[in-house]
Amino acid sequence: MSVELWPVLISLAILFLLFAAEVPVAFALGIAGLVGMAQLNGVWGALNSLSAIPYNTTASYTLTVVPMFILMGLLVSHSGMIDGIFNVAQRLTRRVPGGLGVATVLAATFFGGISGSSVADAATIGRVSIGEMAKRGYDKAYAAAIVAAAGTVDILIPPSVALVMYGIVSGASIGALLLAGILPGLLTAFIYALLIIFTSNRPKNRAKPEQAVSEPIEVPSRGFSAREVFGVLGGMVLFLVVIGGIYSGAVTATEAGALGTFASLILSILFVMVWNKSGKWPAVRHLLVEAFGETGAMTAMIFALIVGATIFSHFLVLSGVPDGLSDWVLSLGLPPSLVVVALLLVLLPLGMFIDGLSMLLIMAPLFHPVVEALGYDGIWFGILFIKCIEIGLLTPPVGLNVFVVAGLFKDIRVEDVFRRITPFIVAELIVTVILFSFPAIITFLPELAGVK
Amino acid sequence: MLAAITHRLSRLGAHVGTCALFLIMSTATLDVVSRNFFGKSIPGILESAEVILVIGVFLGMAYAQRLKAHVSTSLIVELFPENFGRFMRATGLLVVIIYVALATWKTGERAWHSFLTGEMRFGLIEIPQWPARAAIAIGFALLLLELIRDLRRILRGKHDATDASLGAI
Repeated sequence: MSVELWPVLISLAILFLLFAAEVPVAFALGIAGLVGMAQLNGVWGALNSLSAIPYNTTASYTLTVVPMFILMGLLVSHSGMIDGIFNVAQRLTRRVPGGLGVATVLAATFFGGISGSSVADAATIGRVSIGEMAKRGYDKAYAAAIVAAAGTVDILIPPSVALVMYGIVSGASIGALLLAGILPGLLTAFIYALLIIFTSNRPKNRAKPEQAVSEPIEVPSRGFSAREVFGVLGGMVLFLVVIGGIYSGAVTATEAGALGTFASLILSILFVMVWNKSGKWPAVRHLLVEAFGETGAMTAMIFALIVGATIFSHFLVLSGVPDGLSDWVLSLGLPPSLVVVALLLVLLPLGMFIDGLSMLLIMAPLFHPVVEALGYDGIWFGILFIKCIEIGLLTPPVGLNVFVVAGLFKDIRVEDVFRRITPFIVAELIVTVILFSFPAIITFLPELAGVK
Repeated sequence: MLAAITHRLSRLGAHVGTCALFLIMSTATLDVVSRNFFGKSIPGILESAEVILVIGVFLGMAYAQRLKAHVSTSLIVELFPENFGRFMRATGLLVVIIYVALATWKTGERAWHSFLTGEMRFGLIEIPQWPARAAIAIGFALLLLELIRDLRRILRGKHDATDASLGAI
């Protein structure tokens, strides 16, 4: 099948013009796809697709896991249940050089096992840890860079909205993807910790004397307080409910999402009732309004993107782009591993300018079949794809995590954080090369659990 | 006046969306418990969750626009002088308004058709499709109101940037 070149070029031009005019990506994709379909099927054909696609793409039981994974993390984050985790991590790492930075990575990784989004992770951990690091003489922008980078671990460690979305658009098993993300996520955290141990004492990463914060440093007490123990145990329970459920095969990924959310609802309400000082019921009400409200907005945003991307993908399929791309790549006769490297290299610059979810929704359906046709494991490529999204969360000019972390404190400038993030991006690239070279790190857990 | 009504409607939509999320969570949990402890699934959970999800998602769409949760990039607009930037934003938004108006019309028509023909979602239990389809059209209509409000704000020189903290990845 030949590719309809002109409609594709015109639609792409419209897409980029709309991006340039600050139109939300979700709508830009829908409009460009609609114009493209109108060129191929006529205006009425395109409008008929517009009447069918919003329902057909969203009425899916599998997709209910997306709001569940978001809600689960936000309930825990807004309840303050996890705020003590940084203290706990801090005490575990106090003998390590760069202990506070390592503690931040540890805390972010732990919260990654509860939260589905890295942005929420960076915001939750950053709220507590950046101030603490600044008190102990860390340069604030460096502290923010640590948090931004550590937050990215979240999208590999289940629950993860990114992995679920990859499974949905590529057809790969969501359960297998979620299990496959665990070891690469831990490896990333480990490499980050090593990096911090070796760089945290460099002069440029320490605060200049005139910037030093003169607030008193609270020396952590020896034992753990009851609320810290509750936070850690509660977090473990939530992780086990979701991952244990999927690993044992007792529930599907979708059901695990609902169960985990239900458990986090109970735990976070319990936590707020016992430890919140602003009164029991007002605090519970505040928790529910905040967590559910934000989840609703984020869910609507994600689904708007899904609808827009589906309209655009329909157009691409009609115009023969996926088959054309696949045939073309295979006809080149290049070594398969070189093709995979090339595809991943396309994603890196793209991730600098497009947000991760949009990139996933547009590119994964194009790339995944090519990689599988070359004989590679789709789960393996999925994780490598997600690694590229992670890197895109950190790279200027639109690295989302950097913006979110910088937005937490008025005196942190985005440019300064970007300047200190380069070593973390290099660490990410090293991990990606390791995962590429040793696929077993990715495929081991899903194979062990027999989840395909 | 329009702004106040739009705001109320968007909030209302978001509240219904919240209830939808709660329903999905609790029914799925009940189903898992029932299957593991009593050995049988509750029929119709899967089908109804799908319909509820659609309702929740689309009724929340306008509120997401109000909170500026929909991701966009100001990278290129900011390269231009302010007035031209405003012109670009307004033109882009106008195109979106036309798109959402078309979507409201076509999905509304589809919902009406679904209602008249009594279209069912097939499964263990038959569930009518029209409430979900109507929610899509209503959601787009609410979104349209929000977008018109945004266009008016841009023409008056006001502009709200995307809220990065609502990023979902």
